[in-house]
Amino acid sequence: MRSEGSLRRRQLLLAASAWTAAGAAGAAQVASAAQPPDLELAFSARTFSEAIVALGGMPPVSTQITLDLPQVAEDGALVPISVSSQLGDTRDILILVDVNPQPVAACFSIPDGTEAYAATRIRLAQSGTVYIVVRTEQGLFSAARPIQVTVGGCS
Amino acid sequence: MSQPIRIRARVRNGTADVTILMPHPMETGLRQDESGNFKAPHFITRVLVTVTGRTVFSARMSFAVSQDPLLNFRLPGALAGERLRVTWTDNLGEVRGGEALIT
Repeated sequence: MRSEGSLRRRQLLLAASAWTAAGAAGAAQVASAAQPPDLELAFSARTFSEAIVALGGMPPVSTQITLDLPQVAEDGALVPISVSSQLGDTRDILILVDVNPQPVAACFSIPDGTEAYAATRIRLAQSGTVYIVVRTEQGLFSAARPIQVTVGGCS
Repeated sequence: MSQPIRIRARVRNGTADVTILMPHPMETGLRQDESGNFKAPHFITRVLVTVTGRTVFSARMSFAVSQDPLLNFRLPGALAGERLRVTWTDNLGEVRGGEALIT
């Protein structure tokens, strides 16, 4: 049990360092070869690259995901965001922020019968990029938008 | 925190638009008080929404969700008069609920 855990951690670290070294595209390949997406693991990730590795690499971009977000946020403590997915069988919607100390802000689970849409308000530590990852029966898909933050929302 | 959960659920064109406001400090654990001590993290981790007992929406949250979390989502086919119930749990194990009728 214990050795399994440390092995996994080592794989994660290896994959994470590969991400840093090789950049987004390279890491996506390394990660998707390493393990299937693990939403729980992504949620507890402490860095963005760790979260993406847990998701099995950056999912392909889909134009079927709509992300509404201001281009400029005066106050990083209160940034309105809404997401909708036109992808069939949308199960989960994750909001990730690459510059936050905890990269996964929220994960919404969409049961059958509920529209694949959610809106909330999130914190951004500084200017960065907001990523949406949608889990469907067919796998993971993503969308991203950069955002300028005037005053960070973490301290 | 002592404030109740505010819920608005209105049917329009066959779809209920649901907005939930959950008063909660959502402390990140990264903020310092006047004497430089970090305030302990205190944030909602899970939210469960049911309509007449059936789960219609659930969320996992980190402290990156803003203070007094707001959730908005849509329930096609929901009917006025059905009971919508919200329950949140925070990282300190506190649980709180609220409910409202869909109008």
